Amino acid sequence: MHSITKLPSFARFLIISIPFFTFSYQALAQNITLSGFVSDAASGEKLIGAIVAVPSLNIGTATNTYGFYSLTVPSAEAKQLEVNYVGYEPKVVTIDPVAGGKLNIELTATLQLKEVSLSSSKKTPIHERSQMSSAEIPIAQAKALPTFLGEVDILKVIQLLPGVQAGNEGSSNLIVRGGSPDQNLILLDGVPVYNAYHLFGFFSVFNADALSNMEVIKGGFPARYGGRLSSVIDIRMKEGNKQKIHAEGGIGLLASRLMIEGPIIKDKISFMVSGRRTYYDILARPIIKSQTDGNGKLILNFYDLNAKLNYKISDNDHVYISAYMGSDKFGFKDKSNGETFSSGIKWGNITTVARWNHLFNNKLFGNLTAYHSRYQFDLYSEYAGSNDNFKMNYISGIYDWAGKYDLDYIPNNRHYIKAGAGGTYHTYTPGAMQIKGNAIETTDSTDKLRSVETHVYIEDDFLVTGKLKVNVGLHANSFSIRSKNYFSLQPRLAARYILFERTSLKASYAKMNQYIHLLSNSGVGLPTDLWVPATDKIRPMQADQVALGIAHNTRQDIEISIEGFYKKMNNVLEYKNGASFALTGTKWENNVTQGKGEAYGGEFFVHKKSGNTNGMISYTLSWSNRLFPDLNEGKVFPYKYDRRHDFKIALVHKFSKSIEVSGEWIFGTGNAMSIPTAKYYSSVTPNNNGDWAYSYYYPSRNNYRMASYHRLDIGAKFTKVKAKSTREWVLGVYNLYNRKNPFFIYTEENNGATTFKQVSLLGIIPSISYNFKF
Amino acid sequence: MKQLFIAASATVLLGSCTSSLTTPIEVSKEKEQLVVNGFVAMINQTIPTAAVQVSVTQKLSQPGTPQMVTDAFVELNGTGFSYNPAESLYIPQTGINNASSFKMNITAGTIKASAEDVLPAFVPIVSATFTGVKKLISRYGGDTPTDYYEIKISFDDPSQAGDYYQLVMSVADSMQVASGFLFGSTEYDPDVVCNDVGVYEEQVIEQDPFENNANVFIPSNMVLMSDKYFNGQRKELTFYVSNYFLVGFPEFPDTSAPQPSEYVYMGLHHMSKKSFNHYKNVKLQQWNEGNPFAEPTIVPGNVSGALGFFGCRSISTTKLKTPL
Repeated sequence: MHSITKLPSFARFLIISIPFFTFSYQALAQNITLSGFVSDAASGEKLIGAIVAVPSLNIGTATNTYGFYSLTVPSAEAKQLEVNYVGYEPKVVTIDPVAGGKLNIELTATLQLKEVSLSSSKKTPIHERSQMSSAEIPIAQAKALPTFLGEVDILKVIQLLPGVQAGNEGSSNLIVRGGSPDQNLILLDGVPVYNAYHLFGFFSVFNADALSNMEVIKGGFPARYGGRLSSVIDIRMKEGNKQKIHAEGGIGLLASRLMIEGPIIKDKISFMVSGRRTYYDILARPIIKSQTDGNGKLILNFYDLNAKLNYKISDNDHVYISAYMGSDKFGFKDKSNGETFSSGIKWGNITTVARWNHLFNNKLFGNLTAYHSRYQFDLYSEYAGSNDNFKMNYISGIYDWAGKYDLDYIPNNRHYIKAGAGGTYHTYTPGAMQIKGNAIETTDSTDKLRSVETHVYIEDDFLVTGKLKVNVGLHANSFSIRSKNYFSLQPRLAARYILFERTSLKASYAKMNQYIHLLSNSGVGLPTDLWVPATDKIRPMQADQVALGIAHNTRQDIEISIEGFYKKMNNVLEYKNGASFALTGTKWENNVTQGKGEAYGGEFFVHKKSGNTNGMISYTLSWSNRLFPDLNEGKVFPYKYDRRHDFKIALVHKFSKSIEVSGEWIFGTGNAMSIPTAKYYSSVTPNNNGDWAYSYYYPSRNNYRMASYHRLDIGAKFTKVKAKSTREWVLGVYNLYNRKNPFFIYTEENNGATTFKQVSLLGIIPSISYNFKF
Repeated sequence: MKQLFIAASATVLLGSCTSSLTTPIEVSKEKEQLVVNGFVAMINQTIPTAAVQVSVTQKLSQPGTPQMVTDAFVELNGTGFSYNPAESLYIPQTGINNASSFKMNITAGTIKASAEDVLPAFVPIVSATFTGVKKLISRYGGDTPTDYYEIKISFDDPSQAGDYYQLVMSVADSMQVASGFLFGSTEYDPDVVCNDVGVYEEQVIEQDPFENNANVFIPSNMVLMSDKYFNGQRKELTFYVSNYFLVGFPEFPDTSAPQPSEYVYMGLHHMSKKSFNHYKNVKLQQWNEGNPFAEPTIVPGNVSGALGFFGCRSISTTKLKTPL
């Protein structure tokens, strides 16, 4: 918790300076302000981050997350406006110096994507942005990479970025700059998604067909974001084609999917609906039946549904209503001799959000958001016999109701001010046991924990001079639970200074607070991991991160960046020594302990976006350590995901318009884990009479390094474009050289001797899928 | 040819998928280390007793128990120890003098090790009585309540904070007979039992550790506790001992099952925080053995130059005649 009195000078600077700068440029006369939306000409989809510029004056701006831009130019000198967006034909618009005002611009997609980018395809050149440690990933570009079992997984694409790594083999969870998986704020249309994984973490819940854009921020967080320490992953759903019905889908080994979008009233109301369902259990049913005398049934499936309605009320008002619903089921059912036994686990998210965009004038854009988010898992066991029945459910979840208002104010071309405020009402159910049967009916409910979280922020992306641009802001939030109130004031600063024509120096500082923790024994994204809040006993997590880097954009449009970072974390959470994976219910506060963490390192990133051969190379050298008074005898120990070296290379080559191949190779230092190295007599006490305590010796916590992780994936895409449709065959091989990467290690006792065995989960896995669009 | 190539590729790929994904690994090449464990116990404020054990670590891949070191030089506050093969312990050659703290020195070959601890103050058991019989449902199931004998034990916790205790009960003087105690009500609480005996210091969130864990079955003949919630106060603990542990199983006289006992023996061990943490983690590690989801338990030691633990205890003992 941070007192406002600790930063009086900073707050004073912010409060005083923003109006001053705003006023000074507003005072300029004979300017006209152009504003409007940039959208796809064919579908009407808003384009996020499109560049709108007046090249002759060397001024420009980028569209916001709703495709809105505002640009003030001297009326006498403004002649032509140029609009650019990756994958679209540039458009030049002649400015009417008298009319000015609103100017909506439609861009036409290039027939064939000339530049296939793997990631980080910023519309503004990397060296010009004040934001550092970030990457914006067009969904179409994420689809170009090799896939696992034919399923495009955007979170796995994010894992290719420097400073981002997967927790375990095959997992989609994200470890960002030494943080834990719960330190990532994953937003779908601005709504937090608590469990973003299907099938125990092997796939993300995001169906790429339903998405339009994704941005990842690892540091230098703008003030508009808060609530997590390590990253923000801001994912946007498609709005729905306003012009015509369009569909796309695919059939894969694991799942099939379908997305339909189109106008309800042309140019006025559009919709998008998409669904995906796996059918592994259906395919496996004959095998399971044969092994259980025809009585057994495996339940292993997931589905997700996305829907969005986009209503353009007027030129100044848009309403969006979107929803996501996804669920996983894993269990087994056996029916024999008149008895039925079933057991398993169900988990899933539901999010619904309504947003109202309002354009007050050509400099002020507002967005009102109201949303609900729910995550719940249900561990169940059920027996039904002729005379007896029994049902047990263990339910845990988190429910949010929230509202917020955000404003974009662009007084002139030197300032882009964002401000907003909001609040969330959280209800946590760490665990509730329900037992019902003939002879018994009990409910052992953990007390529901209710909390209110509020935030307010202001930030300014401020072009101080031609060379210096800063993003300065302040995020304040509060959290009330039980009788405890926490308050935090979080200054944010990011700056770039142009050193040479295409090279800039960047620096950032961000303080972040997090009022929610994920209790996890496994770290593999199991749905049984519990989301729990900060309480009067468990303090909120807090982090300070600084980063320094150089960004360079070559004439061949290759982006190169080198960044160093240092992140200090307080009140991070771990289970206590010896705490067991259990449905801890009310006891969770007593089974955890808090300590400190630090992560630091360097990241190197090369990204070639253009040409028939393109790709990226990333390397991260980093350290991530923890220090807990109650763990490892109070000594520093490496975090389980401490990864000294992390190297990734991804390439795409287009042989022709119809044939494209891709490959990626990943190498990472193995995870750290605690393994005993010997056994010994650990105690002699007055009353044990020769029955001495016999213990396993752990030299320290996380003393052992698993084997290095590496694998090669390849893919090939064969596309055939017809008059009204496109079809695509996608072939892929995951882990081409069948590397047995460690997933976990277990011990085996044999005649008093202990041996260790490493289990690998995913060997070489070929896949094929068929995609279509019409 | 094309079809043949595709078929061959598919066969190779699918064949690879079925290969074993479990491989044995070697995780440690560490050399054996010296292990020293010892205690000093002052029972009912009489002459201190002590014992020291010297052994070496054993590789996990080797079966059997760790090897003892029988030719070490051991001394405690100037008193020499000699090895007793019958007990596999080093015991004092002469009586040990009273002292407020004790330091042991060990030399085994070229390795020197030492450890020290302070003898905690004597905390006597003020009272221990049988207070009645209750019909309770056994933890082991069944619908028929059986007799449980209620025992109340009290002691006065010293005024300073940070006192740590181990309370041991048994039906044999040697205090080695496995026994069981049930605290409070008839309910079985899996959450607490899963954590065994070592975690009461933090488990308890209200004023009274045992009232708030009233439904705890302790699958052991001892509990560990701190005075976190009763510092400076008289503490009364209530136990329920199954009838079976008092009457024993006379129908199986030749087995290791408990036999009828004339007395219930009790010992209140006052110990240091380091001793408490050490023993707590020893018990936790034993409890979690084989549980793949348990967090690792590192057992802290306090011996310089070797593994192991040396601790001093002041013990108050009493016995209750079995009311049968």
